[in-house]
Amino acid sequence: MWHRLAQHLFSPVDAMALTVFRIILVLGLALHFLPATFAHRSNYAHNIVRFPVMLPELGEFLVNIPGSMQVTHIVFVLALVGAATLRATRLFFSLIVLCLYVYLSVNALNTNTLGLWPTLNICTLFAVLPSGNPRYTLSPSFIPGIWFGSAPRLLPVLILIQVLGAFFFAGLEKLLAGWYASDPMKEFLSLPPGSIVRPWVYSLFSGGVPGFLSVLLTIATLAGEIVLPVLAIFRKYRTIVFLSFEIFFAGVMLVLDIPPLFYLIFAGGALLLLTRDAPTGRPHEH
Amino acid sequence: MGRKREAKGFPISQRIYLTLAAVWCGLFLFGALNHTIIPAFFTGEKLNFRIPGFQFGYVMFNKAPQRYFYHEYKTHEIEAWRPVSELADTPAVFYSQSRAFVNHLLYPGYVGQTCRNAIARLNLQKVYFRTMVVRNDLGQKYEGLSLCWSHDVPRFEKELTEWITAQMRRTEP
Repeated sequence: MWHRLAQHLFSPVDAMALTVFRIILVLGLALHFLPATFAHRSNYAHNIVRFPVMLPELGEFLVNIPGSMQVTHIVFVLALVGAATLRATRLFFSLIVLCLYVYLSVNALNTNTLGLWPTLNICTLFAVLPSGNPRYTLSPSFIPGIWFGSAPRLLPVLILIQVLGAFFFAGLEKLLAGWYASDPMKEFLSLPPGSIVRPWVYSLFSGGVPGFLSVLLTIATLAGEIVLPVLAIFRKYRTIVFLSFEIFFAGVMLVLDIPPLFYLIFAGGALLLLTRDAPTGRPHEH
Repeated sequence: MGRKREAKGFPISQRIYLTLAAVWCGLFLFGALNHTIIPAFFTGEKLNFRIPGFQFGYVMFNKAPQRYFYHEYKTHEIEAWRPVSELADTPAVFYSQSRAFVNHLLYPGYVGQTCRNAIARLNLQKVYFRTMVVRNDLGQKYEGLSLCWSHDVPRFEKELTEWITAQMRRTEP
């Protein structure tokens, strides 16, 4: 059984979905980190509260080395460009992971968000596992209908485990917190402006949230988070799960003040549900 | 025997990848269970490791916050109260409000840095802050006004932090 599973995990798949997701991931990282990076070119690490998430000791060490943060910024930007466009995916994602650890150790208060842990996990997977991308992502072969190359199934499967698993366990955590017996959406939607809901939500519901709507949203959130990842196991439901994911996260993005990186990781990661087996008669790139 | 021979047929690189994948899946699963099943049915609380996946899980708020506070600011040039997210250290594309909200909630003293940013960015001597401390389920709301002078930010930071702590204590269940 293990032998068959291993064989299945290394069987080649069409790398199109993986390549598109890789570009989406890089875009999300750029949107999330570059504004903070460029705003603090010279004194990024000083006079700002630290968030003791990763390795505060590393931060203490780095801020005492002149120019270390500037070097990190330059490496990060180059690695993002390389990861999106060139073949050496593992090298560039290794550099990205290294830079993310530096940023999160030195000054995470400007970058902290819920989506960072899944992001780091996914970047680490790209840094370690073969993704079989063609020589240049932005070569003429990027035109739809033209061969993207193939990749071992292992990487898309693990990214899907991360994306769908995080979604499922988020639902489970809400279930265990008692969402089934209360109406937390009503409380979320009535939070004041300047909190975690978008301003238009506050303007719309400042007079009160209709009971049926908040209950409906609570049930839809719980059901979606618990059921969709389970359905995704079955191949015939994957298109439906993909579409539901896109609708769900577009809704989340519209209502809650969440970073685009969070949205792109989950809505973009769901693209891998559409991964197809590599057509026969094509050269495989491992 | 036959199976052993087949397993030996796997290239060493694939065996390494599979081992890494198994370790990765194990850590992912254990981290996720540490926020759900383990505290709910076994230990009663999350196991405390310094690995972020074990610390924070995948939900920012599994309940709507019932006790919270938020700040607004204004200057003598602006009539209306403005969200403090405008004074954040760095830009946050499409999520500036929630980042400021969470940062201030986690670190009440961060308001001092916010004041420094305002003074430096707007080139002012003083900035007014309005702080609301809310207990949502009981409909309690406490409002505080404070003034941050450029020459005495630490005192402003200390006094406002103390006031927030005291008001938050009043809203305790």
